[in-house]
Amino acid sequence: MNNQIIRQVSAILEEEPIGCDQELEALAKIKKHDEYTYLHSLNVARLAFNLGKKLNISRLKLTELGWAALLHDLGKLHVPIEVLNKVSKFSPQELATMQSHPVASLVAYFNHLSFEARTFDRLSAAFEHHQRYDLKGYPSVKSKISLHPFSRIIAICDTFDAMTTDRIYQRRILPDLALKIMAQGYGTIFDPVVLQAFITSLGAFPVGGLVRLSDQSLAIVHQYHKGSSLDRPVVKKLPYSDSKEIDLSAGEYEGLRILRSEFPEDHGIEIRN
Amino acid sequence: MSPQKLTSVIESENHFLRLKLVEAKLVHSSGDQSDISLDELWPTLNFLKALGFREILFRRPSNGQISSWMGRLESYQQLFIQDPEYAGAGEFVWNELDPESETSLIECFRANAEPSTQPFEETVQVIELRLGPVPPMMSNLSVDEYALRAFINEIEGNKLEDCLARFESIFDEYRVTQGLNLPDDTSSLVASVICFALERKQVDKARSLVQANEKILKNIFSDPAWIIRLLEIYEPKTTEIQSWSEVFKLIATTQILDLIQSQPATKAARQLVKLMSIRVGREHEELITLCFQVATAKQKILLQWLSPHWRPKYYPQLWIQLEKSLQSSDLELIQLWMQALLRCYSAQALEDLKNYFYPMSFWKRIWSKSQSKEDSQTRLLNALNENRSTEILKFLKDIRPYVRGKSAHHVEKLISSFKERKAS
Repeated sequence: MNNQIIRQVSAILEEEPIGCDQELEALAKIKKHDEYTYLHSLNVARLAFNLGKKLNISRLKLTELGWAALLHDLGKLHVPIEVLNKVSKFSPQELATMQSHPVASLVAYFNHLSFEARTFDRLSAAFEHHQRYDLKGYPSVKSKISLHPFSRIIAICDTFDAMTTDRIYQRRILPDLALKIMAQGYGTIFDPVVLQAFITSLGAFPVGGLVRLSDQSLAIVHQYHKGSSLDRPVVKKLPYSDSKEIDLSAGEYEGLRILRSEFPEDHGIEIRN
Repeated sequence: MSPQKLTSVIESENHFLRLKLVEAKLVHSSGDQSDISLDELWPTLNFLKALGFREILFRRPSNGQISSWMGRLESYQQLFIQDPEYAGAGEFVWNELDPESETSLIECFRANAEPSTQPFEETVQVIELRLGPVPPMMSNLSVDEYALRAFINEIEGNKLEDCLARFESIFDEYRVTQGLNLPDDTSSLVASVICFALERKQVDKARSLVQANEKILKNIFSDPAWIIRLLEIYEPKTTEIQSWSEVFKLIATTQILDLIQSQPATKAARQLVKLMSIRVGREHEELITLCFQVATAKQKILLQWLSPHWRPKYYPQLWIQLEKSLQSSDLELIQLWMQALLRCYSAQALEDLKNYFYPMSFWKRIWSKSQSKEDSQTRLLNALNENRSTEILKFLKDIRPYVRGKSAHHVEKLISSFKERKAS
């Protein structure tokens, strides 16, 4: 068993993945097939797990949510790597292959995992994570049912990570901008309650991001105080180590605000977690 | 946010406008710049900015053209949100062209492209845009506690009906996407969903899953391990038996008979008996045909169920089977065929059975040895003893004058035992 995968999964789920050999092997297969999909799965799981924690869902369901997110793209094992990593425009056939991965997850689950009661939650999430909240997405589902709650969480985390990750053909989108764009899918593409909870949990400018303040200085989002406005976090101006905390929600900084977030690498800055 | 705000700004700038997306600035025709909020002006501008566009130039587009461009970009944004990995930017048409001159009336410039620096015309009015806080999203941000609680409850108590309906959708969609049916290797998956439905007493759901996936489930219902597993899951109530038996309609009757023989002491055995009873009630004609074809072990099981279904039309076949069984020493089988024959047409059966006891030259041809004739008579008498009735007593009295030796003693014993039982 790949120790790196075990370590990474343990860090996300905050527990040792004991008795999950099949799941870990399935993840190893994803990693071998496409490194990007593997890293994306880890990111989505991290986001989903953290959101689940903030929602105070039970430990059992939290772990299940984490696994559902880790394996949500299992169907991509059936998509040829040259299609997965294609930089130019997809042909209709290639697009159809790409978009068939939620359906392909059915066979992928069967091939790689034993079928138990909990598989229902996981497979539902794998099948529905590209389905819209208004059921106008793909693959089609019977209109009478509501999407699995895990699917609704993972759809949001999946989109957010896809937007905020660098691709060969496109630079990543800054997190605050990604959230603003995603907000345009409020109630249509995404479950409004989950989207609200997601944005609230991250803040309008996620912690660790580089922002330009209205006095033109650069700062790093340090934290959010409980009850503070989503666009007024505590920031620390650069240079970070010598800087004092500036609580933008405090009265003394009323005139100061965040203009926008910026790419750290554009300023030669590397931000570590 | 309504896109009308952007439209009114463009109108106010005499339809000639330059928007700097990265800096969030509006460049007026005078060359002055003012800060704007992309969210307030038109939230889709964030989408353009996110995809690497730096500037937008509006070169006197009409309101209709602006509206068409906005509508197109909003639809792109929806596709992108739904699928950021595949909604490749290269497939989208960002500019709005003049249909006649084919020049761009609205032109979007990427970060590495230079916009044309056509001089601005004099504007009618320079508007002031309020510089407000940057809202993270344009909808209400407060999380509704009740809605959130409902969502958490949904996670903790996922509804079974939804779960099964979801799986039906998944299977349906698989069929649509893949053309025909689920591949055979997914049969266990479908069977597991059926198990899941039965575990939760959803008999009708299990039945509909079988109905929809008959083709791929054939190998499941020919696998004894799977059959036993599915049978043992749920014991149906009396009112559910018909519906429940439909879940197992793909199991061949011979397979049920095999399992009844091989699983006599399991939980599944009780279910197999129920299944067989239903099947006999519905398909007794087919089962009678089968009964004449299968090996004796299976015949013994079938004969126990078919008893009420024998009609005179089967008489010739039953007679042949009885004669065949008489050549063996399997008394149980002889008794069962005798019972079937008497059920079928007792008057004719007893008349024909007399031939076994009358001293006719015909029988000499059949039995070359008197010993085998006597054995057959003993077996018949034993079988008749298991089917006592007034008619049989009369039969015994009728043949009494013709039997000799050991058989005569047997007949006498039977008559007296019949009489004793009648008296008691």
